[in-house]
Amino acid sequence: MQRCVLTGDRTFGPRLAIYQRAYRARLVEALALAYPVLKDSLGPRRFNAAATAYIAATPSAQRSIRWYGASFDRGFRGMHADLARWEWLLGEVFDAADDTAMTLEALARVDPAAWPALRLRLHGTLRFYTSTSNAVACWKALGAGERSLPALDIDTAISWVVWRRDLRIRFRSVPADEARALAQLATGASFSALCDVLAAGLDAHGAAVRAATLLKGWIGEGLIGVGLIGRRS
Amino acid sequence: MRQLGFGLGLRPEHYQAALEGGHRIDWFEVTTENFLVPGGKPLHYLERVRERWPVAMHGVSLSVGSTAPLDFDYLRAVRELARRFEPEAISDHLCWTGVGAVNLHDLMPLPFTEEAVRHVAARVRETQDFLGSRILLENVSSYLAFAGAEMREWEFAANVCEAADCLLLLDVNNVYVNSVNHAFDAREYLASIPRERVAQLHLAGHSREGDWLIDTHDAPVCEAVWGLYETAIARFPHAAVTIERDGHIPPLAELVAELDCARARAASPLGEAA
Repeated sequence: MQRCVLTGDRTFGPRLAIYQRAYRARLVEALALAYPVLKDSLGPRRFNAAATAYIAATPSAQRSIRWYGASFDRGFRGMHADLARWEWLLGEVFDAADDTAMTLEALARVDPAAWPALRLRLHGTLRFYTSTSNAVACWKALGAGERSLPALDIDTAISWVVWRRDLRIRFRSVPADEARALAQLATGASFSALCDVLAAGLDAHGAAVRAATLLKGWIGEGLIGVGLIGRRS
Repeated sequence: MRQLGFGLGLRPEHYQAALEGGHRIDWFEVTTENFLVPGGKPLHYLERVRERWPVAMHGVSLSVGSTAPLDFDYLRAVRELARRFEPEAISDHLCWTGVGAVNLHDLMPLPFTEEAVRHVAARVRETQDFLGSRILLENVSSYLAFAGAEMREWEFAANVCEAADCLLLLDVNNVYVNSVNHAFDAREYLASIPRERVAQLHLAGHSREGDWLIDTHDAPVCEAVWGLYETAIARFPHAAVTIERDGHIPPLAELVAELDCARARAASPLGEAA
């Protein structure tokens, strides 16, 4: 039915143009909503140019326009690419499935003999993010109404965790050993495997103490979901 | 659909103010797609709103007029959401929104032909069977018309509703916008729609772009649309009424005042004369 010929009078061009303009405007608006700080950082002219190029190359296959900008970051490099990935990730965490955080009280009920095989579960909203630029610092500065920081590439990648607690998005950077430990947990590893990951430069007792310290912090922050994956690693 | 009174489209900007209550809003209409997410704030607030007010689900992605197969993944998600929130009604638009794998994110016009009536009606029936519920279809604003029309827009809408046994969500602003864009008599439109098919009315603002009116939902309802609304509510007195605002969203109190205006004009003794 869409193959039918549309009305061919002299107003056809301007009438069709209403749809064409609306299509572009709607998608630009969806990108601006998903990437508000990237837009601030680039300025409206550069943002619109990037959005126009993305729209020309990317017909929407999404049911909801909310997800249209999923690969917008590919049009950027360095800090701006990191910033785009960061903002998209925040949106994912915003909409992630609800989950309940583990409490210290619940964990205290676990039989000490079961600890080595204990497999903890990361909170369902938790996502990992790595940047090799000052994108998150720029995001914070711009979000606080400050002027954009100069884009800066850094030598060592910084790891971040982003999660949701009480409907609010939380995030923080994580040291390298903690990032490795969390990544290990994400694979369903046992507590003893977690200690192994942390053992570099530490003895077994030191690794266990570090693991316990981290775990207490994670639970306080709501990084661990309620329920255990199983008792065997 | 039972008599719901006067409602507003629920927008994220108003979640908190809506929940504070004391605002004379009888019910809320929600955009279905905004709640087809795994979790988080939208669903949290909808839970809270639903505890206290009736809601209706209003979708934009059914694409009931398209020749692409119905999207049953989408319909399954809509059905799940409806099971969770028990809406008073499920509605979408008398249009198509894409074809193949491409979504235009717009409400595209249909050709007003017998073939299109049969095509759309069959898909509405399939949708209703799947959802286990009669749906409402909304007439859309348009800026183009297909050549070869065999009937007027209002006949097309009435015929689809009749053939599919679905209900009409009559958008009064869209009738007005189209009456300007396609040069017809808006009151003839209203007078031609069977009374028993109209379960809900929409009101919204529009903007002008050159010779045409654009359905932008970013302004208060204008006087011409209020006038047409008086005719509509006199003809369809049991219809639930909703005001939609999607751009330049004002504080909730302003929309409540606009809703009061809809309530007052519904009570004015216009009768059948208009």
